[in-house]
Amino acid sequence: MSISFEEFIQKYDIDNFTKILELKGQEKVKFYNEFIEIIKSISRIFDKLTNIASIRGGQVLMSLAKLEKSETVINKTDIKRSLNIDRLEKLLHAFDYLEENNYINIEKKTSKFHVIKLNEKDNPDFTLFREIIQKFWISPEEEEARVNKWRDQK
Amino acid sequence: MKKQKKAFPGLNFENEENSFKSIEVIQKEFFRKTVKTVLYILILLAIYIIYSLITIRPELFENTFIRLINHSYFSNLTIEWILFSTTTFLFVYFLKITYLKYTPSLISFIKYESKNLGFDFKKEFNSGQIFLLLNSISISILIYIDLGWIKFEDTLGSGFFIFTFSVYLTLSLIIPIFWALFYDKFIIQLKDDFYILFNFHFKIGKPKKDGSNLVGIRLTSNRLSPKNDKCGRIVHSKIAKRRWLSRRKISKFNPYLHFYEFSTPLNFQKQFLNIVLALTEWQNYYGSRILCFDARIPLNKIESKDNFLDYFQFFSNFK
Repeated sequence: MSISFEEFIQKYDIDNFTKILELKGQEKVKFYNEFIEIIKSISRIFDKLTNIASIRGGQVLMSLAKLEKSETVINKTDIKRSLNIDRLEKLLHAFDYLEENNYINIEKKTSKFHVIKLNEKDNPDFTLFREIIQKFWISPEEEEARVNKWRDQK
Repeated sequence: MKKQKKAFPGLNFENEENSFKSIEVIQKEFFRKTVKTVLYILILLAIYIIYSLITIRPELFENTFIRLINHSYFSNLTIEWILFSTTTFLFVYFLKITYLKYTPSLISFIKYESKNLGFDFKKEFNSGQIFLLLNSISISILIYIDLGWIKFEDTLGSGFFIFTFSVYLTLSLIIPIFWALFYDKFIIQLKDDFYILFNFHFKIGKPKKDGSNLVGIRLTSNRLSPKNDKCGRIVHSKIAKRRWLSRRKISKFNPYLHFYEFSTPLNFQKQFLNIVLALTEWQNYYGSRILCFDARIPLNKIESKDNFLDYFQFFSNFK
């Protein structure tokens, strides 16, 4: 079962502040179970991210999840740019590891142009992961843009 | 004075600098191992070619010391079989050794790490023993034939013996070769029916500071169930998804389900425990068939939540 944060919010109208959230009996049990599932899924995400044995593996996954919100085709250079990494070589180990673990799918269009996707089909926790990252995570590229914007302000 | 065995430097993957050095050590060791095995293969081939020439075209060795040896020594069945079977078996064996990417220090590293977890990592290469066992019987019978203690006449019994012995000779070579190709392995035996197989993976070329030098360990569980067992497929899929297990298809022709995990030396313990825990879950849930009450429903329809017991909910009750 893949749990979706967005679906959970919508299902119980949690973001509707004009309506009282009232749950009784079986509905409350179901709500509780689903909430616990989200927490468990987050815990597994923490566990896996901290154990990706590549210095930048976790960052690549986060960057990919974030970019999937705005881009339909994502390549290695997009991720490099999003993470503010100067050379793509620094990320190769991470790509290899993530591909070996089936966390990402790499489609080699040409020898240099590789399209990368988060493998949500085989890793259902990635649905929640993608939603959280897209909603709350700020990529190094965005951070840099924010800092520069602040510096430019008079 | 007893020659002291060379100690292999310990591998360390804790930071980038040490990882780079460790990868260099692994690659150097692998290179040395490959050169050694290729050398053995060449020596074997040379012996076999020379032997073939001596028996087929002895005139080529007219002016060598070989001429002094009685030709009947070469052309008896025992010598011919020993040379043929040994060179063929060792040729395949050494090819397999060259193909397998392992090095002494990497093996020591995994042994140490698994010992820390309380498991015993073993190199189970039994094909050599099987070859020796089967061939010692063949050689004994061939010696009897060469000495004339077993004689063949034009009878049904002799014909049957020749046929049976020929089949045995063929099998005594094919079985060890088959064993070397498919059953010589690195293994951790977890329980009677549960084990994990190891396959090492790294690039052979010189390590580059900026390139990817991924040293990986592919872990494969024992056979779980046939792929056409719907209950097995459901339980396997649920466990693999929940534990983020690698779902890469190693072989399309393998009719059995296995769990796969990929680790690097740095996260070996964690990934190893993950696949072992997946096996414990498999034993509990496949054995009880608790997730399989709807296994008769076509698989494409089973993904709907209403059709089977909620896995996570089920697990949460037991945690």
